[in-house]
Amino acid sequence: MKDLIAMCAVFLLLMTFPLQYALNTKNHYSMSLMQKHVNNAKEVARQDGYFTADTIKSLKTSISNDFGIKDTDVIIEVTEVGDKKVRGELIHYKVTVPLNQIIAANVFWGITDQDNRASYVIENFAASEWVTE
Amino acid sequence: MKPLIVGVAFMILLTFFNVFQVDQDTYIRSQSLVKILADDAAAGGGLFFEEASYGSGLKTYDKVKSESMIKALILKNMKLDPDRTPLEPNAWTGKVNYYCYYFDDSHKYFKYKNGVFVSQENFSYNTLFTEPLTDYKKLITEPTIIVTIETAPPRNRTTWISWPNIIRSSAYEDLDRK
Repeated sequence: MKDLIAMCAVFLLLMTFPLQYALNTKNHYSMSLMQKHVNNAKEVARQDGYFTADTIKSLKTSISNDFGIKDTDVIIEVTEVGDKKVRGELIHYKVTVPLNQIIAANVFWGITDQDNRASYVIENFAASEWVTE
Repeated sequence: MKPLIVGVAFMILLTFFNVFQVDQDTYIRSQSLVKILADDAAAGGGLFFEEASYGSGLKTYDKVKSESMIKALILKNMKLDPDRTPLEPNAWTGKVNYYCYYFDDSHKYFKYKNGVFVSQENFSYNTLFTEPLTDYKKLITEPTIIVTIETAPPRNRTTWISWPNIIRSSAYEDLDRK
């Protein structure tokens, strides 16, 4: 009986690991997709000399759909219309997305939802190709 | 007691798997990132032509400006100090090297390593170029810049497994030559 109880407890502990593997895979997949979306938006911005409102909107929509979060949770700090860059100047972009779950079964391990968060940030520069009209 | 000991042993083993998975995912994303950065560096370097030759209809890269742009992009985007050592040690575990190959209407092929001129040779268009580090093959038909970035892998906590350096190449062609 004692062995059975110990086995049940151990089994419960071990069951959290497959959940963690699945969550790691999901987070990795989301981050990879975010990398792709940000790269696509940056390619458009390089032609325009800045991130247009349409580019930002479409980037927010793609990321929020992939991460299952609200548009407003995606923080985008980029070179915008007031600071348009000409050919050879650098466009800046920084995209921050919250990862709402890092550890699976966090309550089981005594980690609060608040502590179980992180942000994934992509911050880079790209050379503008926009030529003045 | 036996199930408990076996259970704890399994937990330790599964924790190693978990750490390995997270680090390997980071490694895979870093590979994509280096490819993107090589794309950006090649595209950035390809923006500058020598004005004198451009006026006479030839596209010859202004290597000084191109190298300066490529260096700026690589240092800023990979968060490196001017010595190409990572400012964030977890991002890359060693120095970054980058190589640039220029093919243009001067019919000379220039090779630079870390912004320093290495060699130059004659070439003609429709030559198949093989990048020596990656074996990346490219038929050169237009003025082209190829940038290769080589970096040590990101942090790996499962130290008994060693990952190879990440090496990615990207070419930028000026397609409106004709």
